[in-house]
Amino acid sequence: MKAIRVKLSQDLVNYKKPASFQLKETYPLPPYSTVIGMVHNLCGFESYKEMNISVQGKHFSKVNDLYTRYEFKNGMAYDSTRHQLKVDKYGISKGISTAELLVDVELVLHIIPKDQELIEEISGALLFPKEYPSLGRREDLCVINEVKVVEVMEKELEEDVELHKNMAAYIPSALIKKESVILEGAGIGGIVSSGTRYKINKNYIIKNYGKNKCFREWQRIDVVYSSKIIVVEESTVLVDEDGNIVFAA
Amino acid sequence: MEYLAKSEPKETIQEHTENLIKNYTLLKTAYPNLNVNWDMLFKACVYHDLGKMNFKFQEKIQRGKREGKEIHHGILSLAFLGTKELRKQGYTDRQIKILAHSIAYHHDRDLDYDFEELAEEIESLKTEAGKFNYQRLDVINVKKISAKYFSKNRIYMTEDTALFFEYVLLKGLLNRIDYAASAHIDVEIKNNFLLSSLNTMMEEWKMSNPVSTWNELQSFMLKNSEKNVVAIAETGMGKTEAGLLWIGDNKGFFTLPLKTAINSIYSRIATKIVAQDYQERVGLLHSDTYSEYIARTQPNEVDVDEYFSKTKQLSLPLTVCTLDQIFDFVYRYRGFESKLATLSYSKVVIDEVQMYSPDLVAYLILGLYFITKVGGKFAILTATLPSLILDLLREENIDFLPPQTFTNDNRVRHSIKVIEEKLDVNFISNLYDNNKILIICNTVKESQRVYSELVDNWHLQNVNLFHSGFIKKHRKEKEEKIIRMGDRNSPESGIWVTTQIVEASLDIDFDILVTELSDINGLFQRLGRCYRGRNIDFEGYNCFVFDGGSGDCTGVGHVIDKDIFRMSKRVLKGMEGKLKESEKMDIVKNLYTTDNLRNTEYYKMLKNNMEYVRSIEDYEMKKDEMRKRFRNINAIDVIPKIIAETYADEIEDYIIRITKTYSKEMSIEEKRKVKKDKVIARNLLREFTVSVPYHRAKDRIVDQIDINEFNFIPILNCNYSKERGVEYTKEQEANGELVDNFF
Repeated sequence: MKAIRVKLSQDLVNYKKPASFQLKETYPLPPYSTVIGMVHNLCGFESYKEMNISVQGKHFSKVNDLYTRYEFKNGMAYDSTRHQLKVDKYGISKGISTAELLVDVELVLHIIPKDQELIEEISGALLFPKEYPSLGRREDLCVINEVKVVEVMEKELEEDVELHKNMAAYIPSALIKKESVILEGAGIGGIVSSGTRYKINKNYIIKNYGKNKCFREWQRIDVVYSSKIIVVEESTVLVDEDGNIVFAA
Repeated sequence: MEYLAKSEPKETIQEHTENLIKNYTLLKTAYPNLNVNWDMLFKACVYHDLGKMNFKFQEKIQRGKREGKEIHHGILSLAFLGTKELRKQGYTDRQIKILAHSIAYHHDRDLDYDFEELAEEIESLKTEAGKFNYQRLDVINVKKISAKYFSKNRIYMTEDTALFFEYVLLKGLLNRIDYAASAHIDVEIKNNFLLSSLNTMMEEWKMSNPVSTWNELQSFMLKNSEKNVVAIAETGMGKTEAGLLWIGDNKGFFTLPLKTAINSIYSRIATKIVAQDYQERVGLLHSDTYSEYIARTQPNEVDVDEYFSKTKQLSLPLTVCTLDQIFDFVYRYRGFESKLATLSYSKVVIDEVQMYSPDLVAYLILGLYFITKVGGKFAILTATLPSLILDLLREENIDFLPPQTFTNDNRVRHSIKVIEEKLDVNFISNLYDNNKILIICNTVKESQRVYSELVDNWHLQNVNLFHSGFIKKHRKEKEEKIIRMGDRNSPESGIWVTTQIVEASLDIDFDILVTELSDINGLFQRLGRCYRGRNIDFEGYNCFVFDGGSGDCTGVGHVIDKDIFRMSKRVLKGMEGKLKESEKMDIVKNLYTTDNLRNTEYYKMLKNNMEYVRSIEDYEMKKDEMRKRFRNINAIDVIPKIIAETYADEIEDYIIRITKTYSKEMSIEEKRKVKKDKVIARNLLREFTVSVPYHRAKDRIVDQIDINEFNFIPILNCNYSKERGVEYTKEQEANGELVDNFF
């Protein structure tokens, strides 16, 4: 099985958590759907091509910054005394809000399309992008440092493999339940530490609820985010040809 | 090459390990049925200290040089485990995990290294390992252990109960063996004497009285020595002997609520029952063990330090102790494993449960849950038993035989009269007729008031006051005096005004008891100080209970639960005349039911505390942190100002002795001597202190005596006299300003 491995870096970026409003919060790594979106956009795919994604990476720190926020309230009438833009008789409130930004992000992504015929097309689109590639918000540009087509295979590990220092990843919970992946304890204090659990969006189907009301129905993946990851000996996991562990989902 | 495990005296890793194996063999011989995998325990002993061969540790121990950050040797020892080999020998992943965790945490340190540091350290260990020879290790392979077995994590009870208890046993026993080996004492001394000692005692009794035999209670305990039992027996039925018979030739713990009671039971067991070699057989364990041992032994008679460390490490066959000395493991603090592991093959006798405050009852119930879980046994022996306790035990699914009651109904010791008034001093003065009267008040303040009236208004002679507000020195004198007078055969007479500090376990026998009502349990305890060992032989009353009339007695709502007080009052109302022991037991049984108590503060505190302790995560607390929470201290030790002034010179002298430093030139013998002297001086200094409630002391601290940088004793601005103890006045409050680093 082949995969496209992409190494990229970004400087200030927000991977928005869906339910955050006042403060635009960010996930610590781009969710699967964001990566899938970037690939589809660069390739010009019009419909979803099934693919599995592995996301690993790190960031240096996190800051909060202001951004201009436009509020579209359903049916809000224009009010000239307020700080609003006028669109016909409707008003759009313009104001400021805060976004969480990750600083100096470095990512290692593995993209495994189900249809292996697409490998060439995807790697080509990443090597020679038709526009500046962005990951996160539209303005979150990324610098692609490496695109490599690699062989990915299931392998029984002879020794423990520990992710490089400070590298974090989304690990599908199933792997942790199998005890292939151990999250190292804090070591200080007796408190259990077992990473942060997220349900991460991956892809959606558009579901018709009748009367032409259509909504996206998301497939969500149960993952654990952690930076202290050890994959233990004798477990069978996906590994790429350079020995990197692939947590594909 | 030589690799040291210990300095002073020097010991190589091999020598130290051999010491462990010697103790391992002792333990295995003494308790072959112990529920532990002996093979794993052996491996744990062999591997536990191999990590000490690392360069940094050797530099430190051999040359006293510190070489930067050191990874704890427990972690490094894991690199020697050779998990593949263990698997070949038939070890399961779970077993290896337990073994690894036991070794890694045999000293419970914070693990503050990262992967690279560990990898580097293990790499350099390989060089050392090449030079290390030990006949118990055929091949030495050094390799970082897989995270599958150990990765800075822990084994938690909630995640896997079976794994947790297996781990606790293995780790706890490794600790026991390791500590014993380090202290050069035997990890266990087998109990093979208790039954024969008891039988010898019986033979002696038979000589003086041929029909002597174990009574009903004692035979019951003997018969059910393999079961968990609850026995309710009145005072004077030989509960101590019954408890010992139940323990039989096993490792046993005898817990009691009060230090004075512990000291006296210990003396009895040590000198009357066990007699020979008691320092090898019976220990005394509470916060003052060391000084108690020093006080009891003649200089040079026995090695107090060795006796003390055997006691502390729970190596003795029989230990008389306070509940908090052994039940503190319920907090599952770091290092608790050795206590619970020890209790897994021990039998615990719990005496006088009715004395425990709600927080201690909570510890007791949880403790019994854990003990029975790991295979230990318990016997509750008590004069009265609130049904509540049985319900709580059942709620925790703790298995025990249905409770048995033992009474001797031919004996009637008390005839009581309940008077529906507040404590009346005139009444007392009329009772006094060259007899022994004991007055028990609920609060110190009330006792001082009664004392003053008796002395000032009635000019009675031979009136004494005894409560917790005396400095230890005076307290001890008073205790001796009251015991002397309280002796049935003593011709002395007089009046003692006291508080509940005499309630339990003081072996005194007065002619008349006058008391405020606290609650039924407390009242029956108090009755035990009057006609303790004799039957009432006259018509009329020997106990007078003032129930406060239309109001409450003093202390109700503060030291005494309001609801329980009122319930007790209702039960007692109009009670008059003789009261049999079985009647008392029934009253307690029927009053202290879960239904009656459900809505009281008492019950809420008990339940909350159980919930609190349970909610603490395994290994969350360090031991000293746990001690603070466990004791729940809201009192502080202070020296009253006037005492500090009167004994200024003596205090000065003690401080000098306590702060004496050890010098390099001293021999071990000399160091020991200094250490002992420090303990003695500290105890002597403590004689001047009195423990007072924190809220009382808060605004009255005027000065402090510094012992060293970290320790000091506050000086309390209060009135104090040997006759009346500590008293507070309003004016003194403004003077003091509490140094606010108390908590």
